Amino acid sequence: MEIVTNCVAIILTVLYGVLLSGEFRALRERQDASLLATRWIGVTVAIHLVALIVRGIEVGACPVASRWETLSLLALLIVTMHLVLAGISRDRSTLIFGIAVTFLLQLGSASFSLGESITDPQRIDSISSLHAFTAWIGVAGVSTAGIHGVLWLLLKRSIKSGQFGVLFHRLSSLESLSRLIRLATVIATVSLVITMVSAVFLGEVLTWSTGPVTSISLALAILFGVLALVPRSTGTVTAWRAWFSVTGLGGVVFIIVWIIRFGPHA
Amino acid sequence: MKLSSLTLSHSVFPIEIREKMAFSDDQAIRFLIEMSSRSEIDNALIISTCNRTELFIAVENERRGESILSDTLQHWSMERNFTIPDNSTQLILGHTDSIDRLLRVASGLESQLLGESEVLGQVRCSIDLSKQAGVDGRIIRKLWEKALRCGKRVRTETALGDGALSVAYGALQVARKIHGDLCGLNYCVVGAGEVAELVLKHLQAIKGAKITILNRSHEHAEFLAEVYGATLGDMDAIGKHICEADVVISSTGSQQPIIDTELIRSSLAGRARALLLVDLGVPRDIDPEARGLQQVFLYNIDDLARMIEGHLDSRKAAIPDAEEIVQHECTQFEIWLGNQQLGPAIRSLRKALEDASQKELDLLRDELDVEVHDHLSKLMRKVVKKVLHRPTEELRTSGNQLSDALLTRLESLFQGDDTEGQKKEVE
Repeated sequence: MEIVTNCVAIILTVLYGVLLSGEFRALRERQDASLLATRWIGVTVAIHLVALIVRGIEVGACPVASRWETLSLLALLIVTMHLVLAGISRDRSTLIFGIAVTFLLQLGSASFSLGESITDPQRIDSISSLHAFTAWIGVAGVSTAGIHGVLWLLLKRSIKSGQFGVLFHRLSSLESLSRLIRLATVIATVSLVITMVSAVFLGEVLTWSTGPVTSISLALAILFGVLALVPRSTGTVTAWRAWFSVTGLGGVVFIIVWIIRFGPHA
Repeated sequence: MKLSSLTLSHSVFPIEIREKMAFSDDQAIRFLIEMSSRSEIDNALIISTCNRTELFIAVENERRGESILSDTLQHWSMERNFTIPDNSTQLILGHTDSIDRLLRVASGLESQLLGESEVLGQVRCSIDLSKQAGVDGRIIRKLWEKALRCGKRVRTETALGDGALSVAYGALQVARKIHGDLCGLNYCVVGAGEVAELVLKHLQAIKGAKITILNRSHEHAEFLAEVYGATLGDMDAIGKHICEADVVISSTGSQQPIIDTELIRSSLAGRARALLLVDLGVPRDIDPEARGLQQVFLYNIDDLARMIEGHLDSRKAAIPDAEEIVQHECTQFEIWLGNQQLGPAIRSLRKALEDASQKELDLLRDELDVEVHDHLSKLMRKVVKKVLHRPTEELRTSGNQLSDALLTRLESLFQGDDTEGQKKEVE
């Protein structure tokens, strides 16, 4: 089984790598990636989803017991969220950045899958599964908002200073990015609220027993909750939202590093 | 006559300097009148656009032309407070380069935005200024006609003007990067000149665009508002209009900024959306300091030209074809100019031969009846024409290479011969 897991993790990494290089090629040639490329991303995501579902069935819970599972699930959620946002907004200009983050996470996952050997996976109940899954959706939402926040700030700077580089030509518009940030913020907030509520049932929030990951997640939930409530605009409010999203992305990076170092608390 | 020109364009001077060199129509006419009386010039043309101020003159020799233009540059530099660059000699062009320059300018080859069409209209209007100043002599008028013809040929026969690339197009590209969909946005166009009209043409194509035109004079603005489905606003309430607008595009002929930073700052209060200000005026209409405001994106003509540069590949490919047309038209003009100089010499040569043959024929008048005399007279003229045909053609093709001294000598040679013949006859 371990061989199959390793193979799937490596194949997924290769697939994301190929997709990323395809997007880069389109970027260099200043062409929009075709619908075909989007379909291939969909196929890759479907393979990834099936692999994790099979793994979930195998362990009988949400597959977050090991480092490779955690990173792989986060990679899947981030790319899925980018695809969903691209579908809703019909703006796939930021998909390449989502795939880049996904590729890095999947690369990490593949390296852990080769090094880690889980003989007896930790069994978790359904509330813990819900808690872990929504937490990861929330983290993926924060990451997505953060990625779009960074891009919004860079595009704004590019337009403001009249630097007409790749970002200026490639990204759609400040308005569209602002809409995507808001959408990702709302998704992250809803997920993190569910995470916090489920944590109350699990008694984690009160005991603070799981280290800074919980407190950072709580801070992100509050921050993004406020951001989700503020109406959208293309002016100063979006600038603040973008900066906070970038801060959120920083929190996510910390969480990922913490998990890589100490393992998932679930 | 030889042409000389002074070129102050975007390739050497940034917008901060160009706006100091810009001439309004009245200023241009005054300058041409003054130059005409000071230097006794009756062939001059000034083209002052947002990208350039170019002065063309035709005088008897290149050295004098260069001297006049050099003095003019010094005068402008002091009057308009700008520093002349070290390579100022490159700003003054000689005869052939001047012809080439005007034709290239009219063709859009020298435009900041390669192949733009506005410049042809600006060249077309420039002769009116010369006419009003009384310096639209035959040479400059012919050159102007040649430039227009060349500009039209380049645009119809090559791909240099293909595509919808213009500063207005560039402005809307930036607006798209900020606001996404351009439909339903509020646009405020300040000014009602040619550039404003071009902007309105682009805006008209946007579905649901709400356009407001602001202009000091309502006459032309009303016409534009009617043609392009815009509303006419009150220039005195410009702050209110900026407050309501998502995109403000200004292109007036004002010598001073008409939209200052304070006005923009006050218009931003309570505003949720970003504001794009596009300044297509030279001198600039919008205070450059406004660029520092948080929600404001300010673009001038140089910024837009830089942006569009990347989209000019197909136009760049058409440069060799366009240059070929320019070269051909230049040669045609030089032949025409040469012919103008050769004219007296050829006329004198022809007259000398015709007169000589006629005199010989007249000596036989008593021996011939009238009908035969007339017949021979016609025959003589035909012979002269045939004999002179080839030398005349040779002279015409190499006319622009012959020195003025040689042409004068040629002219006087036959006049002298003719006079001597007459003297002998009298004796």
